[in-house]
Amino acid sequence: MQVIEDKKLIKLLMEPTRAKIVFDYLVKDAMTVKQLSEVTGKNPGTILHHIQKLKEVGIVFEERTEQTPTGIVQRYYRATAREFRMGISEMVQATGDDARKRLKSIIKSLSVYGIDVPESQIDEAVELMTAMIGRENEISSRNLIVNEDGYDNLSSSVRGDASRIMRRFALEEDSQYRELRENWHAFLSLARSHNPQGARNE
Amino acid sequence: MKNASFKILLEDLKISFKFALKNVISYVLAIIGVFIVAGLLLIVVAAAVFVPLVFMMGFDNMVLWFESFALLGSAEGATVVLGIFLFALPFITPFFVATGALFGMSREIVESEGTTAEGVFQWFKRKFFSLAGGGIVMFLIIAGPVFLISFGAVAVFGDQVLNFAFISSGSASTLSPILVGLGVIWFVLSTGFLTMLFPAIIDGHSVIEATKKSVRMSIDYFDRVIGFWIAFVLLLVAFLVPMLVAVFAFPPSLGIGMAAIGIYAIPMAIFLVFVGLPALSIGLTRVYMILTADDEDILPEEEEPESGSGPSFVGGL
Repeated sequence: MQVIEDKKLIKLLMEPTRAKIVFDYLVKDAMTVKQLSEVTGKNPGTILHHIQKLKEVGIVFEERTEQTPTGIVQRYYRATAREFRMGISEMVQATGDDARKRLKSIIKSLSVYGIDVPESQIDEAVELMTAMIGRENEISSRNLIVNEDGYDNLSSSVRGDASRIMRRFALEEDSQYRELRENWHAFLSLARSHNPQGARNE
Repeated sequence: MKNASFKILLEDLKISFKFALKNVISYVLAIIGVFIVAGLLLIVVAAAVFVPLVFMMGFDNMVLWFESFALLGSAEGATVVLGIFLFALPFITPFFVATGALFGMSREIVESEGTTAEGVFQWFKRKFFSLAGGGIVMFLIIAGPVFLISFGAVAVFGDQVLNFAFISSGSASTLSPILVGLGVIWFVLSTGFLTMLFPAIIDGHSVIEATKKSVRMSIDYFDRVIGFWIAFVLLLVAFLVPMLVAVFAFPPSLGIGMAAIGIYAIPMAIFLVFVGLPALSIGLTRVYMILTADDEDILPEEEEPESGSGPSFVGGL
């Protein structure tokens, strides 16, 4: 997993089509411009421009080239990492109010689970969540793989499952992460106890 | 796969024309549109050059200033060459960009089998400065030596040499065909070495990188790059031959001769502009993409291992 901390890169990936190309498709598999054009519904020219931008900043690379019997020379592009996460504090710095608004709206959305965070505590909630996710990204971006070739030979679903198991294990081993997670969970429990419906569900 | 043979060159030409014909409507609309934009830009450039001159110098003084160029070399030929270099470059630059933008469309076709007419404007806008720079580099490399040799010839042999060469006047009537022949060889070879310039710019390289890449590829894969270019030039010559024959068979002074030439020349020009030019850009882009690929052979689709893809069992994170 690669944590993106460069502010320019974060801004580049905030563009919806680029984000879709990278996070939805190229992290999973190598694809051609034609295939990406079909799944995103954008014309090939637009896709090609986005791919070139992503190639320039090193998020995407050309994996292989194939010639089809019709004479088409198609290039397969792939993301440089299997998973990307935006560095949360860098994202806040890069996008300013936008990222902060998004984080606040995530906190507010927890009300559907019976967790009502009062307006006065939303900033505190954002800080707790940001600190925890930041640490999570830091640990998850460490390379835990000892056999790269073996990893590449795994199927995408097995690779995903194995990666999640090991990342969870690595997180649990980290005392700083555990502390941040406990603080966050304590905050959530308190917020839920204020909500009669949420407390009843508990 | 990367090296040329007669069969491969023929295949390159065949595929280029096939895709150009398949996308002919997009190309017709794009060429008309983008060259109108280039024409409008030319007017803007002209205004940017001449309006300040008129305000700064006054119209009469500006005319006198232009006339003073004639005194520089005291030779008609030198003035012509100098004029081309000083004034033509900014005016023809928009047309370089327009031509370069067609290579962008061709890239879309070669890579994904489809393009749209409006796609050309995206390339025109997004790669404007790179394509303009590429065009200027191309112009300077192809025309620069001609310019230098012309001035060298003036310095050594005097003014009349350019009049013979460019205007074919004077007694040295044999000089002109030799220079024209050398000029054609220079044009074909120097252009051939720069054929990968626009495809490389479209691929995201800077002007300098693209120029180096084009020359390097033309040397490393001389047979494929220059071979395709010469094959295309020969095809162009083949299109022109019937017209030349008609000029000799029917003197142009005869009405029937003019009509015969016109009947052939007009559709031929339309074909070359709307099919020939796109086919050239498709062919060169395709050759570029084949030669810059890491692998030589057609690769089969990569298959997932037997245990294959499927639903994830471990959620979260």
